[in-house]
This record gives sequence, structure tokens and C-alpha cells, in this order.
Amino acid sequence: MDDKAMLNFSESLLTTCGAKVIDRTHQTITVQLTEDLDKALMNRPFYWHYIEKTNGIKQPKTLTLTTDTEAKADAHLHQGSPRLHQLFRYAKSQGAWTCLYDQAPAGKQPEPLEPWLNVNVTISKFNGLREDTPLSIGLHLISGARVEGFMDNVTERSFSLAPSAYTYPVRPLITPTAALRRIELFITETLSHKPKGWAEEAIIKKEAELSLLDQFFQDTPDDPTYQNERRAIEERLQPKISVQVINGGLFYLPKSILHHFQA
Amino acid sequence: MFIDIQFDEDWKQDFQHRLHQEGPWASFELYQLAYQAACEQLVPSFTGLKAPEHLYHIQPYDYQLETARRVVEEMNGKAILADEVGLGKTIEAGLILKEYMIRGLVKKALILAPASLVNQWSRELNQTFSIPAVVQRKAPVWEHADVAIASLDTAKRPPHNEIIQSIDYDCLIIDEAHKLKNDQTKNAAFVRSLQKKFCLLLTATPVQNRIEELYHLITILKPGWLGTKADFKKRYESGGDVQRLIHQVMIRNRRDETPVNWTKRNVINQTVTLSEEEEHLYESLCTLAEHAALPGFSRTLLKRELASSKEAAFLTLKEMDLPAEGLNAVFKKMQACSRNSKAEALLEFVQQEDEKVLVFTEYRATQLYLQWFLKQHGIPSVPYRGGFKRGKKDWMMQLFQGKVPVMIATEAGGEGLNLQFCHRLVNYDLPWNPMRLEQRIGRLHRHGQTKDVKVLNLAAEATIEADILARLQQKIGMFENVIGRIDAILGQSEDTKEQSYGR
Repeated sequence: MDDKAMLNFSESLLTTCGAKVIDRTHQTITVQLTEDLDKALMNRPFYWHYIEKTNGIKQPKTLTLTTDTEAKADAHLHQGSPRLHQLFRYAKSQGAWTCLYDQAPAGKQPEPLEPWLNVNVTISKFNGLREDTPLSIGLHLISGARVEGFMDNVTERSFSLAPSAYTYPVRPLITPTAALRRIELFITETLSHKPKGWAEEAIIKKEAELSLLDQFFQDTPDDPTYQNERRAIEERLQPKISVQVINGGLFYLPKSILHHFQA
Repeated sequence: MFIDIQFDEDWKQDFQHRLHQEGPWASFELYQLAYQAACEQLVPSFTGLKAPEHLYHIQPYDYQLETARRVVEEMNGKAILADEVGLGKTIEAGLILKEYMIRGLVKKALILAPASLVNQWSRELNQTFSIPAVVQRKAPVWEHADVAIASLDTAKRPPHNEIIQSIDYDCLIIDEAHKLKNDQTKNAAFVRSLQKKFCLLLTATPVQNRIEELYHLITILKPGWLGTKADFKKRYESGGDVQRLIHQVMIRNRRDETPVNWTKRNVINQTVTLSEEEEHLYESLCTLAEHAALPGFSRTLLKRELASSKEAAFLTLKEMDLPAEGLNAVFKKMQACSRNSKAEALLEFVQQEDEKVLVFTEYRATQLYLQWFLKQHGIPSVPYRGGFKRGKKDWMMQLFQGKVPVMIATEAGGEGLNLQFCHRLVNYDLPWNPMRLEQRIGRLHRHGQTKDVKVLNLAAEATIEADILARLQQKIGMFENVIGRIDAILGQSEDTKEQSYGR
């Protein structure tokens, strides 16, 4: 993310969540927070507790973010800035589940919208170190067709939380729960065909470390350090994969999109 | 090959719950922002460092980045960082910790540092690395602070020790780790009892007196790496490949390998010839110690003190239970002895250099005497020692930086002093441990020093100090043999030239 992207991200997030922009230059933005945003971001539980107990006037704070290293602000945005990462966390917590309807321009006839389940995941491989791969999967809940790169394909469209007047949603034939299971199976299947050098190396390292340790403690197997170290080596070097859901939800899309995906 | 795959169950349950309740759902904008945020936080590759781009205030040197990369990629996050003083081991450790935190491999970390450096660590981690580290003071913070900093002395005391021992730390960092060189101490036992996945030991001096010290450090880091102590000693003494093993778990950057411009360090050993009366005094003390059959330790102590100043020896002698006759003979000679040749040598140096001079002595009595002696010759000086309160230390530092030309410090004062504005150092008497000399020199010859540094080591001729000098050379030889080259600590005076760097 460059400076501009960081600022745009922060602005979009804050305004989407109801904050009002007070001032905006190309490097700095000041917003008036809402009560919810203040509670989530500003870390002043005592203030809110006090105001609520005394029925006082709620005064959410303003927040100034900048990418200008010289400027005065509540926070300087940069790759490692705690505020930026706080906003990342907040975005992830607020945008984890959805159910959206395509807002196609009104046609002459009411148009059916077909359900898709989208799941975006991070696949993390651990071997003492870590490597992540994102995966954005869509599963057509009528035909069972599956696409990757789902988010990239829908990002230009517009959606709302309710179907528009000229569309009607079709009921899924595959339940979301069953679809989730299919997606998990697909991921397991795909991973089993990927190269495993990263994991084999870790196993070799682990065995070597354990064998040195075992030799060293062979006369004192009850030493608590031995058990601690053994567990630490196992935890550190035993290869594993975790699949974390970033977010997911139901998308109701026009019929034609299936062909578009397959093209 | 079977690899365990764990799927996120929490999200699924929540999703089903929301389906049932028909919401609440995120808008498409929020949904996209969440996706963007997650992609931004991905770790794209097993290799390479992500931490540097997270730094805002500093640009680490290449050797620091390379050190961090090696520790993370090749050494599995277990290493002794043994850079020479002043190369920024804290930055390297911070980079490594940050890298593991970004990668989500470290959540709970514990940093143990000397009390005088705890605040510095806190500043460095919080400001430079944006790592929210909390300093342990009175009430225990261990459980709610993911990254905690404490002094070893605080950590090993109840109630802290038991809490710390019960926590499963992902990363343990120990600064000035040479304090764990003796495996019989409470400190070492406490550190061994801690749970840790990754571990960094920071010390510029992994060996001080004996090769076993390094063995103990590595055994804290990776038990079993060097085998049993007996194996290791045998291997070392028979010239085995211990260096290779050691350098797989230790990184040492040297000043002259870094792009930083370091000023030169000139070290002179000056052997001071004693006056006749001083010689007699020294002999009479030796005779007394011999006759009284003092234990070796006391004998050595007395000789070292006398080689420093008669004032230092007097205070110890007074406390000892010695035959009055011999004692009186020594005291009489003390009274008769009107000169201190080493102090005169010091005075000469101070006058001739016409610069600020930092003087180190081992003894408080000598410290006082030297202050008095210099004053007699119109040279004001300030004392500095470990027992001073923070405020007094700062005040002494300010005076020395201001118009007082000489600071006389005792050993304990050495730690944490930053005196880049001074370029002259005198070791008025010598410690047994060469690394303590290195630490002293490091107070001046460090990052930010703009001029060449001159070091004068004084040793009284034909006294125990000549032996100390020889032993120091031997130890430096061992250090260089195992750890790697080291910047000059001792000069090459007439008597020591033959032994110097002899291996």
C-alpha cells in the first residue's frame, strides 16, 4: 500500500461506517467519528462509561490521519503504523459476513438473481516460518459450479442489502452449509496435490533438533526443561496448514454471470 | 505425507447463526475493505523480511537486516547476537521480534534486560518498532501485556517468577546475556526454567574468562547443541570443530566490517616504574601476607589494592585480623611513602592531553584519592559510581560534559554510560576480565564518536598488575580463537609484546 492507498482506505472505511469528513487534503484527513467508531478506535472506555452512567452529552472525538511526516496528527500512517493496523482489524471485524443483491439497471422484465456462496480465505503454511496464499472462491448454489478469483470478478458491480424492485432472488438448491463443505473438500484436495518440500524440510529439522535434545537429556528425562524444549520444538517445526476465513457470504447475481465466469 | 489442515470453525458458526437470523450483514463496501485489509496483511513468502517496511523512523543498516534475515531464515529464531559494542544489537533483536510478530508466529514475548536499560528497550520497541511493550514495575503485568520488559532481578523474584514460569512464551530476549555465564547461579536456573519457542541472547562478550561460559549460554539457547560439558571441553581442547558449531548459533558483526565510519582506537599500555619507597611497601605487604598465611584470594586482593593506591589497601588491611607487628610495619611504610607513581603518570597524561579524560578504577578509596590528588594539582574532577541515584548520575554526566575535565568512575558506573563527547580513557587499574575493559572502552568508542579514541592502560611494574596484563592477553587470545577478532583492548607495551595475541 502506498501513502495514497492508505489514506483512501482509511477514508473509505471511516465514512462507510458513518464518520463525517471535516477536512481532506492530499496527505491528511480529519473526520468526526460516530459514537461506535469512537468506542471501537479511541480506547477510552472510562469516558464512555462515565457519560453513559451520568447521561451526559456524548461527544465522539475527531480523528486526524496523515501521511505527511512533518504534520501534526493523531496518527501518522505508514506500513507499520499501529493505527493503520487497528483500522485493518476493524475492517475485518465489520466486513466478515454478508448477503448481497446485484443492482443491475432496471430492465423491462423482472430478472431472476441466482445465489452464490463466496468465501475468501487465507491459507497459511507453517514450518517454523509462514507463508500465506489468499483464495477467493465462489460456488454457484444452483449448479454447483465453482470459480476462483470471485472477488476480482464482482468488484466492479454494485450491490445492496436488499433486492431491487425489478429483480427476484432464486432459492438455492445447494444449502450454504453443504456448499461450505464442498469448498473445504476442494481446498483439502488442492493442497494435497501441491509440492510439500516446505513441510519435509521442517520435519527433517525437527527430527534433528529432537534427537540432539533426547541425547542431551538421556540421563535426566524428568528435567522440566527437557519437556518444555521438546514441546517448543514440536510446536515450532511440526508443519501445519491453517485455513482462516477472511470473509464470506451470499451473492445474488444475474444468470448471465455464470457464462462470464466461465469465459 | 500427512499435513494437518485446520479450518476456521468460528466464522462458519457465526455465518450459520446469521443466516438463521437473516443478518446483520456487511455492505459491499465494508466487505471489500475487509478483503483488502486481509490481503494487505498476508505474509507472501516463507523467505524475506517483512519487518523493514513496517519501520517508519529508522532505516537499519544492511548488516543489521542481514543478521535478522539469517536468524529468521537459517537459525530458526535461536541465536546469540554477539556484535561488538555499539553496532545496534537492540535494532537487530527488534527486527527479528517484529518479523515474527508480523508473521503471527510470536504473540507473547519477554525481554529481560539490566534495570538500567529497561526504559531504553521500552522506548526502542514502542517508538521504533511500534511494538506495544510494557515495562514491569510493581503490579504484575505479565498476563495482560503480550510483550513485557523487565530486569532479571525483578523477574526472578516472587510473585513474578511463578507467573512468568507458567506462561508459554513464544519469544525470549535476554540483553547483556553474559550475566548468565555461570550456570550455577539463580539467574541462569531461572532462565533455563522459562518456556520459549524463539530465543535471542544479546552480548558483545559471550566469553569473558573461560570457554565454559559460552557453553552455558548456548545450552540455554539450544540444550544439547554442544553435547555435554565434558564432550565439549574435550572437543575444544583437542582442537575440534567447535568454531563451526558455535557460529551456526551465533552472529558477530565487527565494527570494521560495517559501513559505519568508526574512529580509530589507539591503546597504550604504560608500565609505571615504582619509586623505591613504594617498592619497599609492596614487598613488606607481600611478606606480611605470606607470614599471616592469608588465603590466596585475600592475598591477591591486597596486592591489587596496593598496586592501585595505599588508601585502598589500608581500608582492607584495617578490617583484617593480622598480627599487629607485621601490620604496624606495613602501616609505617605507608606513612613514609609519600608518592604514588601511577597517580603521577595519570596526572602527566591528563596535563599533556589537555582534553576530557575518563578514568576507571576498581576501588572507591582510589577514586577518592585520585580526586584529591588531582585537586592538589588544580584539576577538578567528578566521581561516578553505581550506587548513585539516577539524578546524581545525570548531574555528574552533565558536569563532565560541561567544564569539569576529568571523571573518575568505578566499574559499576560503566554500564549504560554514553560519553561520546570524551575521547580519552585511562584504566588506572586493570580488571581480570578483558571484556570489562572492552565494556569500559565502549562507553566512549561507540556510535556517535567523532574523534579517534586514546586508551591508556596503567600497570605498576613488578607487581601483580604485570601478571594481570599477561592473563588478559591470554584470555583475549582465547576469545579471538573461538569468537572472532576483537578490537584493541590492550596496547603493545615493552613487556607484553611477546605474549600479545600469542596463541
